[in-house]
Amino acid sequence: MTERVDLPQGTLETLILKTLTWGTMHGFGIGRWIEQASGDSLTIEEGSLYPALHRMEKRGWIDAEWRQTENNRRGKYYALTPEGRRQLKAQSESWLTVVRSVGRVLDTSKQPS
Amino acid sequence: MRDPSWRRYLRFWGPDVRSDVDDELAFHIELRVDQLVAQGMDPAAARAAAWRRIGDAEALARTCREIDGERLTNARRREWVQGTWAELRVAARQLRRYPVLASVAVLTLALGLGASTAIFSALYAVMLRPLPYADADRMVRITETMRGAETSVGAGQFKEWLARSTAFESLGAYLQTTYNLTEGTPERVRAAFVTSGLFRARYVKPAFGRYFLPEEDQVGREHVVVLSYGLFEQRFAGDPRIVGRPIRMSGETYTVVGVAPAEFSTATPGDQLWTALALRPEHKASFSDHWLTVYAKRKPGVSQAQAQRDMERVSREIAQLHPDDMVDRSARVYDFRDDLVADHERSLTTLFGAVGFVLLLACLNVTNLLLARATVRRKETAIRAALGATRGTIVRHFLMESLVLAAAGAVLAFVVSRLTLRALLGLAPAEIPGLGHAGQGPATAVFLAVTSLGVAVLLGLLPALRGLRSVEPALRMGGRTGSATTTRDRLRSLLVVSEVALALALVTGAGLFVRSARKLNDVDVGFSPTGLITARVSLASSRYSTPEIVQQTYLELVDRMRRLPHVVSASANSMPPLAGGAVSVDVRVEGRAYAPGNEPEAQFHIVTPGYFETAHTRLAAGRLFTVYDRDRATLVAVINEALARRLWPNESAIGKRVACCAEGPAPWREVVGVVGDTRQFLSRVPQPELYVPIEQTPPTSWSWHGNSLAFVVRTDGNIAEATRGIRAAIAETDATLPVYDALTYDERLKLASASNRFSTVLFSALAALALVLAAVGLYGVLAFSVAQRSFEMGVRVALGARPIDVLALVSRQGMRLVAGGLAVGLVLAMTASRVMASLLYQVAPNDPVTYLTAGVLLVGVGALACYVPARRASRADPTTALRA
Repeated sequence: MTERVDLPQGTLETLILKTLTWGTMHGFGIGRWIEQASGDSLTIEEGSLYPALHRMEKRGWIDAEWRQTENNRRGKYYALTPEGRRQLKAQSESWLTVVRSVGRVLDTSKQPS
Repeated sequence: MRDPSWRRYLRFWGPDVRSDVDDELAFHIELRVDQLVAQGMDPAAARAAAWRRIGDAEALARTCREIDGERLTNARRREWVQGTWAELRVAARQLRRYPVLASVAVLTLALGLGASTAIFSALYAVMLRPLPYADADRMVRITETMRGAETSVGAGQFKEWLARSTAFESLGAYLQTTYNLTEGTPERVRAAFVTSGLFRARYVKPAFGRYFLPEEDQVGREHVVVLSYGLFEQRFAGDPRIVGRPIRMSGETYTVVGVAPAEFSTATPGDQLWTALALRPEHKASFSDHWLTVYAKRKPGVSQAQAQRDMERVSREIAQLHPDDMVDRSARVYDFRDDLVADHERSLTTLFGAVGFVLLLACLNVTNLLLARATVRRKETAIRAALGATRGTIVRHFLMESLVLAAAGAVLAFVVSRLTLRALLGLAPAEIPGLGHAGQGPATAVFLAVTSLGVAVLLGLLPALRGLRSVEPALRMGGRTGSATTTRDRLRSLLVVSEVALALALVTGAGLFVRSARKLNDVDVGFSPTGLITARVSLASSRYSTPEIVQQTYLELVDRMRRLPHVVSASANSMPPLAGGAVSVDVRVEGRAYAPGNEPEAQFHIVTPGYFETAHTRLAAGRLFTVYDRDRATLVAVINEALARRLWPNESAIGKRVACCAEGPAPWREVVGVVGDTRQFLSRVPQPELYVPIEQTPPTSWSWHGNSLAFVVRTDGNIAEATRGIRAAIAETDATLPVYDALTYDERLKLASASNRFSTVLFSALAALALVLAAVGLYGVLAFSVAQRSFEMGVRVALGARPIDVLALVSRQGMRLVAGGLAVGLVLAMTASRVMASLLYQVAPNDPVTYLTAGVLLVGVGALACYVPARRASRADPTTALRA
């Protein structure tokens, strides 16, 4: 079994936004995609995923729409809004900055003078 | 603009948050089950596992529902705003289709709102604006009273008040004076003596330096001065280093100890500086001279009534010590703010009431216009209703329209109010305190906004209700209405009647002021003002140390002036008529004793020989002063008819002997002449007056006037040249003497009637506006009714009615409304004008001439407003009318 990691606060939203860049998706699909993309090292819990989706819908980062699926079920599908796209850009940039900075510190072999 | 997607979502699915969240979770479970089954799990076990994985599904659903609920609330709010905005745009667009109606309505509202806002800002500045002083709500003025009438305060009484009263934390005495400020160009400055307590009773932090110390209330320490901010900037270049320096005033040296901030003031127009008031022991021992004004601050927790009781107790205590001086005397405590505005409160509230009438009239007028439109639009409204518009939506639609009108009116009203305020400030009498602040601060804007909103609701409501009621019948009715009298017409007629009534009340009010103004104009002032000028100097410096030098200097100056070109005759008077202010003295009569408190008083004048001749004051009996009435000759006096009536109602005054003014047994003076009454104040009846020749005046009398006299000079009409000559003559005698109070009598008369003119002009403007509005309203109703009845008129003409018959028919309809309005207006005017009584001069509030004139004027305007539509009706062409 692979190692489990916990997501830092707010990261789930960034990941949802990233997922939706591939196209319209329902909640289950979003969760699965993130888990698979992380090589199953992440587990996305429903208790976090759905409140995050609804919060993002309220903020206008994503839109929701009810659609029929191929096996005739009714599902709620989410899509990125232009505002969501802007959020993703900003959030991934700051995330990468943090990761790079933290990584640089951890990798340093020299003792500070 | 693209609809936000939440709206599509809303429209389609409805805002059912609960089932949405449940559906979404159920969908999730299905997909998870599919996944687990695909991995080879048994379906029942898969379903159980899927639920287990979620954990507390109910808590999750609740969280999501809460978030969705918030989202929907936001969305609804946004939708309401956008919907209203859209409605507003629709309303604006519809109004643009009726440009004449819309502009008349907007203009009417702008005038009504603008005028009310201007008057409100004046009222606010004077009566409601917070005072700049610390604990302003505890500030009071205390006066002595004599049989209930207010008098100034004696120095002895003031000393006792300080010692005995318990209700006040500070008491200060105040006495106006003037100085010749001789730093740089000599200038006469308005000033006041004040005790140190005054600055504590009316406290604002000094701009620089300090106020007076308690020890500076003592003789020998009093040569200190606090500058007003205005004088500090204008004469001392706003340089704070002046504090601590000496300055020269009226031949003496004073040390500047501080500068008061700009908002501190003790009079209107403001005092320019304050010097310390040191009461001498002989002042403090005197309980019979009353010459101070006293301001104080109540202790925290002491009410106005308690302060009043405290002062009454103190007065009783003083009366036990000095029974003779305290006959019928007590004290009264006035709230500072109330007292400050008391003189102007009535005139401002009356104006505010009048402008309220005008605003109401404007609203009625616009309502009338909108009602007419609502009638035309009955079908439109009915169709909207039939298409599913709720009553709420229809009412909102009407309200939006009036909101657009009111908003446009308010914007324009802002401009109108600025212009009105400027005109108003230019016209206002100078002595209204605080008026200069009018229009500043947010209060005016708030008033305009709130009033406009109120007006919008008022305007929209009636047409909206009317619109609602007409929803059903309108569709059923055919295209043409035959009947003329419907409820709607009755309502509109009622509005016109109210308009005429309001207009009559306003025109009557204006009429009363105009009549007052004419009465004031016709007042016999007792002298001939045309070409007469005055200019005052004050021989205050040490050069003029004895009364003899003062007298001699004045006589020489008068002599110089007499010889100037363009001067017909020259003289001097210590208190010339209409110059504001008077010095009152007790008059004793040889061989008579008056009960204490009933001694005759007279206004005291020092005059040069030739004064009465110069002023053209009528000689009623005896003779006038001559150059022989000098120090060693028999002491003489001239009195006016008012004093003669008071002292000798049934016999001649000539040859009788009187005494006045001096302490101890005064030498008797023989009354040698009686002259006609002159007025010290334009609207007050002439007071008893006593004149003494300059060379025989008691030496102490000079100090009452600060050694000052006003030259009274009759010119040949070339006032500019004569004034220049007078100034030059004064400068030749003493270049350090400032000339002040230099005015022609035409100017003085204008000043004296300023407050009456203020009310008259404003009221007349409001009345004119009211007349126009009422006429427009009447015209509107008749024109509309004529247009609606064109079919009926056509029938009448076809059946043989002559144009004159139709004319009479329509005019009768209009004049009936006018008559109704006049009847209601008469009652309104008689009630409302009662509050104006104190503002009028010799005109009763129910003056029949005014009412008759106002009525005739309204009938005339009404007839004019009727004539135009009536004439149009009378020219109705039956074929056109019937075919239409």
